[in-house]
Amino acid sequence: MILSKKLRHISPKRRRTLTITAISGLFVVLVAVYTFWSMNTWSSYKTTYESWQKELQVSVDAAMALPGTTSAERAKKLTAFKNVSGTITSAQQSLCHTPVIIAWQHVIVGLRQHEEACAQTISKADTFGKKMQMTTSYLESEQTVAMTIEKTLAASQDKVTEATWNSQVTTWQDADKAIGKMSSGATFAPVKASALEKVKVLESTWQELLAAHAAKDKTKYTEAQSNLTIAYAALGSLSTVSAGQLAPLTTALQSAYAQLFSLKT
Amino acid sequence: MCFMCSVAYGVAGVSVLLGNSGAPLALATATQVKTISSQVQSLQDLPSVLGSMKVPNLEEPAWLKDQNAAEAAAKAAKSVPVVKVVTYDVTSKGAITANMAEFRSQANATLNDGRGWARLGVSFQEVASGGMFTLVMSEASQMPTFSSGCGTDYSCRAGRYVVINQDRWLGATPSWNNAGGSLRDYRHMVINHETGHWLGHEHEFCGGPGQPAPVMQQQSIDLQGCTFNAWPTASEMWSTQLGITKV
Repeated sequence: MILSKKLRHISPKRRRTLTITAISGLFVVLVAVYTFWSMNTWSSYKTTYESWQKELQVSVDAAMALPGTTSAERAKKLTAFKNVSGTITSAQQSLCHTPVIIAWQHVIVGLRQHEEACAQTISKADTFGKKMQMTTSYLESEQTVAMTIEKTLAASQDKVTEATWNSQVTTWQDADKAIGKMSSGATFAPVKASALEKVKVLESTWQELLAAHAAKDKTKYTEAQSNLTIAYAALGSLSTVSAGQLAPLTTALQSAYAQLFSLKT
Repeated sequence: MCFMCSVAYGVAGVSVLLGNSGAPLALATATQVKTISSQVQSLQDLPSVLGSMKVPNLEEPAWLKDQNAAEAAAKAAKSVPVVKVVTYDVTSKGAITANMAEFRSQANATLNDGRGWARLGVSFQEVASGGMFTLVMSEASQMPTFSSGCGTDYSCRAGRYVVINQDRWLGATPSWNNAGGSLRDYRHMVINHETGHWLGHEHEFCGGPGQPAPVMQQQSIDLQGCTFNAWPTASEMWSTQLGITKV
């Protein structure tokens, strides 16, 4: 009321000047606020993906630092690596997201570079995550086979009397079924096939031994006994088959790690 | 001054302020990159499981032990020169249900086994009649007819007669069976023991706990802390009957 009374005493020309000045002032304030907000948003955009990248590496390094001497420790370490893959998948949803109100600003070269760098980081992280996922999936299958074999071997590592030979056939048959039933990726398939083949040989060699024992046939018994030694040695070579299959996975993972964390090797 | 221009100027300032935009971060060291590969490889379980694997140590089955021992004995017997042939004839007394052909064959195998009295350098030969001793398969109830010292429970030797109690031949003794001894080993033992009497041996006693019993010990009755043994020991390798002092 007071302002409008005061304005009535101002000439129309001066009133127009004042109005323009007020609007311009308001505009400048708005621009300043928008600019400040834009600065903040872009700044946090950059720091968010950079710090996420650093945190990711900390997670990977922490997983690497875990002990892995016993099978329980190895299983725990594997879970830590799997969690890293999970972190990457969830980050893909939230990172590199630009608010619509400032999205147009990517026409500015410097800001577009941020967007591109973020997208590249996510893309590299995605590659790393996928390689990690493939590797952990492989290792999970490998641990399942190892656990099955370990359980089967536990029944025959001490002196085996003729009374328990029959149960040896059964335990290897169980191992055969357990390995046959497990699902695995394409990379692990050759290891699974090799494991099945070797387990079946052990199963049939124990059967040969049992038959020779029942027939009290010394020649066949001695033959089955040496075949058993060969079959166990063949099973031992399974770790070489597995190492051969795992090698390309670790090479790919290593390369993805180097690219994600921008290190040329 | 247009709105868009103002904003553009402002944002250009932001990009300048942020600086170093999109420059890659050098976070990893070469060591770390190498480590991830070896760390992942070390997560394999198969090397440790298969590395500690051993081929099962199979306990030799009883039949194989017998076969191996018989083969070793046969080999050993070949190396002992036969200096004397001992003949014997086989007969039976009373109602016999045991297989006599098996009795003849197993008795001959035992007598000529390289673990037994053959080590004296003796070859035992079955003849139709007029042998140096007579091996008899006797019904248990007929045992006392050979001598007042022969009871119905066990086998015995009476003069030239080496008499095997049919009940023991067919079923060994409870103490032997309870200890897990095989019937074949019992048969080895009883033939060796009773023939040992004919060769001139008296009863022996256990040499000490855990040692194999002398074949001339009454193992069917009491082991005295010894372990069952179907074959004559080295110290029993003599025969007054054959004039062999010590092998």
